[in-house]
Amino acid sequence: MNGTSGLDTALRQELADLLPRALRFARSLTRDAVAAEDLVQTAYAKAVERIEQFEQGTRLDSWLYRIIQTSWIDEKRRDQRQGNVVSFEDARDSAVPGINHGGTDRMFLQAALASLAEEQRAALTLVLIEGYSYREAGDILGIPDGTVMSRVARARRTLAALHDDDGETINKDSIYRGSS
Amino acid sequence: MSKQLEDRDYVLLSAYIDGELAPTECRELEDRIAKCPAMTRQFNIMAGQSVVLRNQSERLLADRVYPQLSQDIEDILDQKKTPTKHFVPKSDVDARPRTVANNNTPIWTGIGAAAAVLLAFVGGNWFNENVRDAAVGTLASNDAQMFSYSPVNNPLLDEQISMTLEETLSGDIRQVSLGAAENSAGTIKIEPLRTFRQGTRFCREYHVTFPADRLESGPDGFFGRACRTEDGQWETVYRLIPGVDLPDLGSSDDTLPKQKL
Repeated sequence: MNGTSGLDTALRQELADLLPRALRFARSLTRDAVAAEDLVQTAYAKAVERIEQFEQGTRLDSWLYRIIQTSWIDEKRRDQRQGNVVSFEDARDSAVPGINHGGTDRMFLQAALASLAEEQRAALTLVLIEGYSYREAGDILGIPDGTVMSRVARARRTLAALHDDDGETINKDSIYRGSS
Repeated sequence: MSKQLEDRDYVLLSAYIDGELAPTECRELEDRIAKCPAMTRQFNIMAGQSVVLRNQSERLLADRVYPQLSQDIEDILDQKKTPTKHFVPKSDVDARPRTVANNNTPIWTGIGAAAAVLLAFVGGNWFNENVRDAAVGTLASNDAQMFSYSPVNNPLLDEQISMTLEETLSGDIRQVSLGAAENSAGTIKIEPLRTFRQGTRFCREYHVTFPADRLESGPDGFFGRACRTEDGQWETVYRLIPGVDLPDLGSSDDTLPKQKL
């Protein structure tokens, strides 16, 4: 890498290729499309500034996600002085949908995922969506892997409980769809 | 075998789905899943939900990243000056770069202090009584079309802003035509910028853009902030209209009724 005259070409390309995933992770944190774009820009700017801190041979995506995560925490701290940024879905829908969905309906799960506590949603997103191990997710979030394990479990338990709440009124056959 | 699962059971099931258990732990858990109906059901639910969430999220990667965002990131990677935060509107609107408000910077700072004014509605009818004498006073004309493009004293526009704030997500743009403006070439664009909570209320900031080809002079648009009341009304906090002298906000009185959109 060349920290004074620009990024190494391969590193630059790898960072550029990570944009869709970085944006997806940012959306999971912010739950707001525009805020996610701002967060990604902030994180990329910090990544360029700190590129010398990236250790060759380690995962660039984990490093970038860590910056996104810390940038989001910084942003929230600033927002707390002016008012908390929340998604419009929060303002309009204080509860997850309660229609017959069988617990695995895509729209239901999307809303249910958004309803999780942020720490649980971040952990579940990194592990389930991004495919990180508990240890890798812990490195990104700055927490022990055991904490990741418990947060992911609590998130899944919450989602499953939502399923259970609704499952009493639905065709039991639908409960098992999507299972493997 | 107990039907009631314990906390550790959920942790084990979750870790099993994530491939985080040691082989011996896997075999033990698989035996329990096979023999315990409660474990079986819980595993099926957790695994099923995981599959759906993962598949759905994979599809998100195929979503188009707005070209302007991609360009901004390219610029950052090329270590050019960090671009002003903005995004490209959807395809049904003009591709005009615009600023957004959720960067923790007051939205009016990007407009220029000399050309901007914070029009607070905290003084009830303060706005209506004073703005007529300001630089935007002509916007209060009785001319039908001009009235459509007035940022103030415009019930039709207020109604559309309220509807947009109620129904439109941040970053999406709603295009509306107001009365006499229906036959004009342009429509008014209303874009919620961000949503946030202040106290017990949810508030939104937005940007209104008037058509570039409108006949009358006046601001091209304005920024505003409104908060949702308990009865579902969007109450204006302020509107920021470029080109108007800054009023003395010290005279505002919080005890007076706030204007509803």
